[in-house]
Amino acid sequence: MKGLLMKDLCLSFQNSRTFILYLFISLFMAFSMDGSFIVGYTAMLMGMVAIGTVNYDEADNGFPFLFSLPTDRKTYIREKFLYCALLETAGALFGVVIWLVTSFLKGQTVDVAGELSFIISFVVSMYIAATAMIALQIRFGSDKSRLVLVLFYGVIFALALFLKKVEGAERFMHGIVSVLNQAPQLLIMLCISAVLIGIELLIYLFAVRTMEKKEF
Amino acid sequence: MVVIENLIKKYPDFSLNISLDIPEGRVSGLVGRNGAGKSTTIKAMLGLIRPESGSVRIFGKDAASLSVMDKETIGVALSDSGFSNYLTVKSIRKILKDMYSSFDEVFFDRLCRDLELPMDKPLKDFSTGMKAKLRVIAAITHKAKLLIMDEPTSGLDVEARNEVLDILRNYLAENEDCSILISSHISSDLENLCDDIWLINDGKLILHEETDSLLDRYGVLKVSEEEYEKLDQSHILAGRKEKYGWRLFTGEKQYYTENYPEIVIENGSIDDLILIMAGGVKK
Repeated sequence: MKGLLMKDLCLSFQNSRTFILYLFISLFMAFSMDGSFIVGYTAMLMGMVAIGTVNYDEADNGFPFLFSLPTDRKTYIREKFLYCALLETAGALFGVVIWLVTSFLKGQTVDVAGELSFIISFVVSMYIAATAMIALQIRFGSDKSRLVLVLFYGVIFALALFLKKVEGAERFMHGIVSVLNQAPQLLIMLCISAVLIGIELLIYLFAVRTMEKKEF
Repeated sequence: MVVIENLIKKYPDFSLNISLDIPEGRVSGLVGRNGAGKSTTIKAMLGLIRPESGSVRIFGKDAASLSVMDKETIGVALSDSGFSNYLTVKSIRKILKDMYSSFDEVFFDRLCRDLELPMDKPLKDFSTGMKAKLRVIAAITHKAKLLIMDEPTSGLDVEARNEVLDILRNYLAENEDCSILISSHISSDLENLCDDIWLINDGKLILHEETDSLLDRYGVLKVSEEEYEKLDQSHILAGRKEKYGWRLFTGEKQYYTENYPEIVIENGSIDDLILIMAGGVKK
């Protein structure tokens, strides 16, 4: 796995201009927007960098050689997920630094503890989206995976519209929200964590299964 | 070291059905025309495809489930796949160092220097020859016991081909126990390098012979139609119709030299083997 991580690091950082561009975009966003949004944004940018490494691996029929190296398909997926986590964490930390510095320069006070839950939930959502994208790329290739993602969001949107029109659906959702409001916060956190871990596990299993079934 | 038994892989327009073995210390050549099944055989050995039936065993283990430690002792150079074109030799050295516990950085650097490979240029700016040299260097700098080389000299000019083959010869001289399977459709590459030759055609192995024997015992008979009719064809393996008559491939060159002194008999080469055995009429 160490070799694969090194490969991805070399591939990601071979184009320093992209990172300089990302830095300027992040600084612009941080100055023009208030709050901790920038932390999730920088994490998302780094997630995109991690997703990009699958493109590099896939380009020029790279997979056959890659899997002739001392690694296996499961390790490849684990490494991608780990690399994504490492880059998003680095991106989030970088975002925190930009957020603190720009807030100081703008003369704003920063409530790190108050914003922590928002930052964590944003970064975790970005991580799940990025790993899902990696899994889709492995399954459908880089071009088709974007289409599948658009279709997925389309289905979610259509479902939301449909539910809005179904009589009683809104009342049902309000009921759930009121139940959640009454439940202990720790329990809700545990439930959300369990659901997210479950989703991530499913994405991981899907990616491993897809990669193990592939022929090169 | 490598044993392939009754391996069957079917595609809509092609099917592979082979058995072969490569003992320790043996340099085997896999020859055949383009599309004969050489790369598919190598892919099966590397676990890149799932065969319908049969087995591929490397170091006595199923090729598809080799451990990372086992894979560390295999060096692979593929003709149509390699490191990303965005990487540099310097970054590839870092990757190999983290990938292989026995990676010999000094040897890698020396080979890159000797073959004049730029360390800081991305591979996309490399020539075909430079890429081929790098693929071979990457395969032999971690003390591999088994080298699997798919068309390592394909698309190279004579000078670059010789340089690649010299790297392999030097490696073999220093690692006598190392086994190599090298696929190629360029006969001269294999004649001076391989101990034995496997000829594959339409997904089937049609001939296996020691290289020395192939060059000594085998020959090509050039005969007219009239001579062809009178010829004892019991030792003719395959033939190919030509303008002047027939080109016949035999495994008993001596027999025809002694009994038919009037006909033209040339020494056999791997090119003849491919041309006549794979493209001609079987006898």
